[in-house]
Amino acid sequence: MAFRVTQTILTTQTLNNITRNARRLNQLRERLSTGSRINRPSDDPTTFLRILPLKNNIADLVRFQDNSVLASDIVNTSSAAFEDAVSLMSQAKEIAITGANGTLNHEDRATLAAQVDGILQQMVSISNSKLGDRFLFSGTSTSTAPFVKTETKSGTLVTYVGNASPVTVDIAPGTSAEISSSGKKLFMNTSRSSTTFTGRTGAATGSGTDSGRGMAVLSVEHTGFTGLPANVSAGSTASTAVGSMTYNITTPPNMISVNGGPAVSFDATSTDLAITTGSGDTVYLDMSAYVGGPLSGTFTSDARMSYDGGQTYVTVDFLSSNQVVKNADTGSILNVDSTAIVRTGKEQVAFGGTFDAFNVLSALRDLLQNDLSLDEAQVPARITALIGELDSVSDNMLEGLRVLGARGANLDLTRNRMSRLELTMQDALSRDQDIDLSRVILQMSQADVAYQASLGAGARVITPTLLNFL
Amino acid sequence: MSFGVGLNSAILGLNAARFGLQIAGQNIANVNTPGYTRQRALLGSTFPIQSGQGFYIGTGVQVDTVNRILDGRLEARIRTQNGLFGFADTHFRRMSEIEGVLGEPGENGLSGLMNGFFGSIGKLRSSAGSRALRGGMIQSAKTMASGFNLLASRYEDMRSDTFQEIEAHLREVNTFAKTVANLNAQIVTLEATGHKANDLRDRREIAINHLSELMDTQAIERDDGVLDVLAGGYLLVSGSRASDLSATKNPDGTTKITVGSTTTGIQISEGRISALLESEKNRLPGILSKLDLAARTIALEVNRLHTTGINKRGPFTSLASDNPIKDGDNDGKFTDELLVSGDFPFEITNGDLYVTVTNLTTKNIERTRIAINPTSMSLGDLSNAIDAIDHLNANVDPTGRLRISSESGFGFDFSNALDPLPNSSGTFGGTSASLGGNVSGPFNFSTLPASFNIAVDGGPATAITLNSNDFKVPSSVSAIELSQVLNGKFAAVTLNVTAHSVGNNISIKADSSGPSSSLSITDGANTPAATMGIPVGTTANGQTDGVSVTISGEYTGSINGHFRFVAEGNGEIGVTPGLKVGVFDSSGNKIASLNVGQGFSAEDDLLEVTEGVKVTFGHGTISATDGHQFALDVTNDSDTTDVLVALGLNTFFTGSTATDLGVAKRLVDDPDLVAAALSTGATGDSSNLARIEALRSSPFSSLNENTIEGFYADLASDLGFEAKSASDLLVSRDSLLNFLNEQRESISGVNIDEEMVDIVRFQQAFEASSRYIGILSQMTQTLINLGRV
Repeated sequence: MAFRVTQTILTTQTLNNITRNARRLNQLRERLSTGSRINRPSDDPTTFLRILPLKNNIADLVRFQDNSVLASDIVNTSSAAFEDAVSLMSQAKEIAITGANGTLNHEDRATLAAQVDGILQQMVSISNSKLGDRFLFSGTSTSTAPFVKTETKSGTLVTYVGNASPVTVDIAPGTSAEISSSGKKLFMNTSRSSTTFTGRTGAATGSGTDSGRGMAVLSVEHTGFTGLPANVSAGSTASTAVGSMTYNITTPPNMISVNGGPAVSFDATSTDLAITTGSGDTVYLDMSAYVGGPLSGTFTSDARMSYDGGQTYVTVDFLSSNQVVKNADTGSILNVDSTAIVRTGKEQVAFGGTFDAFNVLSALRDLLQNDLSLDEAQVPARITALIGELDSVSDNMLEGLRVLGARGANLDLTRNRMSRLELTMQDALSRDQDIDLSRVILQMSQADVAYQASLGAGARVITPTLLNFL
Repeated sequence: MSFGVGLNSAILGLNAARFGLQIAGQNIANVNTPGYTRQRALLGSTFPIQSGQGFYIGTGVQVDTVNRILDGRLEARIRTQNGLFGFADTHFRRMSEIEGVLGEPGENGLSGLMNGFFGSIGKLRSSAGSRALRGGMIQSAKTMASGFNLLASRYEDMRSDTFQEIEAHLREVNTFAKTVANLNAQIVTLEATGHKANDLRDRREIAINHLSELMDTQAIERDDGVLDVLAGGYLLVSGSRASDLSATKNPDGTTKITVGSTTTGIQISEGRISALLESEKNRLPGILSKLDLAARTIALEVNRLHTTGINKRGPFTSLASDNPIKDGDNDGKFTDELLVSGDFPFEITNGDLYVTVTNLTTKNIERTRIAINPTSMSLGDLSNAIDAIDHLNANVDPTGRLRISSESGFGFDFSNALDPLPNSSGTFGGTSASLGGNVSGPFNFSTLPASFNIAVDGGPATAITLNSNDFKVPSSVSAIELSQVLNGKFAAVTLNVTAHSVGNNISIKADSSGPSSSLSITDGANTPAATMGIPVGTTANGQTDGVSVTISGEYTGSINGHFRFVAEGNGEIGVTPGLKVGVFDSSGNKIASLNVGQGFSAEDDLLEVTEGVKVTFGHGTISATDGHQFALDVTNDSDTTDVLVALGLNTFFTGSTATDLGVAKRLVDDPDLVAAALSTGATGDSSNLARIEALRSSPFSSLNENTIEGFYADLASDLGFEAKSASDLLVSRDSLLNFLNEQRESISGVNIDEEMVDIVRFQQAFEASSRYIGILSQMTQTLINLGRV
């Protein structure tokens, strides 16, 4: 305080005080009107430095929640679609049980086959489900329909053309969720077990590992003979017995027996002589030109195998315990133990554990239609055998459904966690950034009082001088 | 005492009182005049005379002088404080403006915009195919870029405005200096008469105070009343001469202040001008360079990842670089310019560029490595190297840009995607007979010529001779060079075999296919086949169906190199018990052994190799005896040189500073070209976006191990701290100045009350003197009247 006080000191000081109070009032007004304690970094640089990452964190959390809402949509849609697929499987099972009834005739089964075909169509359509323009089951190839159904000579083929990488989104810091699943896992999850051959040809599973899937047909066909005695040739009818066999010709009377079968007489007209072998199969030989005497020995009835409906053949090597037969449609292989092949025919091959939602249905349909022209009496037993595979496919799919369900639940849980976390962070941000309303209002009214007081004091202090009193 | 003397002293009294009144009046009149120093009349009694009685008595009063009441040391302190205040005030204004431009914290501040950019990437990741989200991402990238642009241009404007502001201040300085010089002259003239030129001195004081607020000022008073003024250590006013200050621009854009016609700059350490100079020289360039660094880091890091990604449309069929090379030698040609001196926004370093060519039908890819040494490679060399790649054409267009295009049916990219079909040449269980070497290059053909014999498809053996002039360095021949030399030799003798480089190894394969295809090699002079590790004396045969190899997954390892897959045992895949395929890395270390024998379901089972690489083998026969092998290129970074970023090939951002940061027009026009994926043909693949998003949390050494957003937050908060301390500084300097001014006012200011008292005092003195005259007059009258009586 100056010792000697002049009018200018009074006015300047008063003005300074008024300005200071007005500035304080203005600052409080700004805080009150923006609701924010920090309106520029210099308001509180330390807290400002805390606010920026906090705001980013909150924006992240909001995005995480958005992502998990989107993920939920996709997962729930996938779940619903997949649930339909699972229920289609149980419909198929009902039909299979009906079809396994021995009292049904071919026409009845054909009707059921048509139903199964419908189910297969639906299954393919479900597996290609979309949400918006995004395929749900194709991995990251979201704009490609994941499953393609083609009809080939070796049967109906559904192939997966999506990829194995799932689309993932971040739903929490460091946590991502799969949203577009690989359909291969869901619809085609397999665990290969042994391959079974059903049929009478004698072909058995070889030692190698097969790569075929579902059900397939191995056909064994007669091709000719090697090692026939002189003047004996193949008959015009294809033999059903194949493999190496012994023969015994006696003359006269002209009789021939093959592989311990009953002796059959022949003469110059026997151009297509049916000879039943010991195993009950037949070889057809042209014996008409036979002129020699009694003779015995061995010859081989040659055969070839095909596993793709006759597109590619492998000559049967009756000494090989592992012959590789290839499917031209799928590139897959079937290992065959040829040592016990004795007759021609069609062998139904089931690649154990490799049935999926598609090939189990096409196998069922084909069985119901009896594409192999099996004895109608055999069909029910085969259908019954397929029901086992149907069940394991259903189990696999139920497992997939459970995974999808768990994924949905996990998304909800995480979203709740994120939303709680967001609230906590909002609180923290609010503590750092927002004003305490009542306090600021109180401070503001104090500042207002101070301001008005300084104005009042100013008005009073400036006027009087000695002049007023002279 | 004579009446005359009495009257005289009365008149002197009247005059003195009137003079006193006049001074008080002057004081009162100037009560509000800034810088006015109150004046006091100093009265003294006049010289005494000897009275008749011999006493000395006074003859009245006289005004000795009129004093200015002031404290010289206080004035000097005020002058200094003026300079300090002027600095703090201008500094505070500058800092508030700088801070205000940031717009933090707020939605439209750069931190919000960067958050928006990274957030939009995160959003797009969930639906990488969505055109709307792609557009959104581009939009937020553009907004962020223009946020950088806006800040940079505002700060740049502030910096260039500084020059004008300083010039304006210098005009004031020059005016005040002239005023002081003029007043000096007048004061000397006036005071030569022995009287103080108070009001002129007040005016001079005011001018100097103004001057001291603008720059550091010292005033030295000479005995004759002249005040010399030192400003910025330079004699600005000397007596009645004032020098002119003027401003010029330094080459670096800063302002230089010179005196008169001299060219050396003067240092100004306080005052408003110094605050402006400081912000122009340090503060604004500092902020700008930090913004530039942040923008540059974003552009470089995002571009590095973007250039090596794959967009929704798949590989490119044509692409032109955004950044033309500079024709440094002005010869009108661009092809001869070295990459290192191309004047690109980013530096090109020594390293490798991998260019991938995809057969769009078969999806088969071929990856070619181009070694880049920017100090010896010209743009033309690079163009030629790319042009030499099968199915690619490259040239440098007349504007100095590199243009690459692919033949129809082929596409190219710079990605790290794995080759899905690495065995396309069929050196591993292929349909053709092949013999593979188990020795890795570079090969040492120290003794040349060397020869070996080769028989194809049961034909006669043909000798192949390697000569020393076949190789660049015979003691170190790479597999690629060797395969080229061998193929030249084979073609020369029309031998139907082809040599392939498999990683660093060599495989020789017959051109024929099927079971009848056969190949056998025997070593001749200096055993070159043994040098290559090729099995000799064995006959390799082909087969009907070759082994298919399909690779999937993404390579997560850290090196650029290859995996070499080698048959370990002879037999059929999926059939032969214990059949294995060994996997070796580029340095020859075995990293995996895959079981492909019995129990392996060909075409079906997916085998995990290592580091994210998965493989499926088809059915067929492989042979260790014949050295069946194939190589899979794995690249972690297909451009270690930043050449793509520098040239602007498939970049996301254009520009490299806060001023010119922008989003590539290609992407703005077609957001589908955002390289979200790392693999071809997967719309939902967002793995490249994931890499870009991860930049957000990565610290960069260029940013002092800070993240981009962290770096910016530090910048903003530093400015906050500085603005706050500027405000604190202003408050303290302002209050000290106020205090000093109050002190001055207390000493030199006019107090009306005092003046009123003086007025009353002088009025009474005047009245008393008048009365004294009246009494003297009466006394005279009395004497005159006496004479009449």
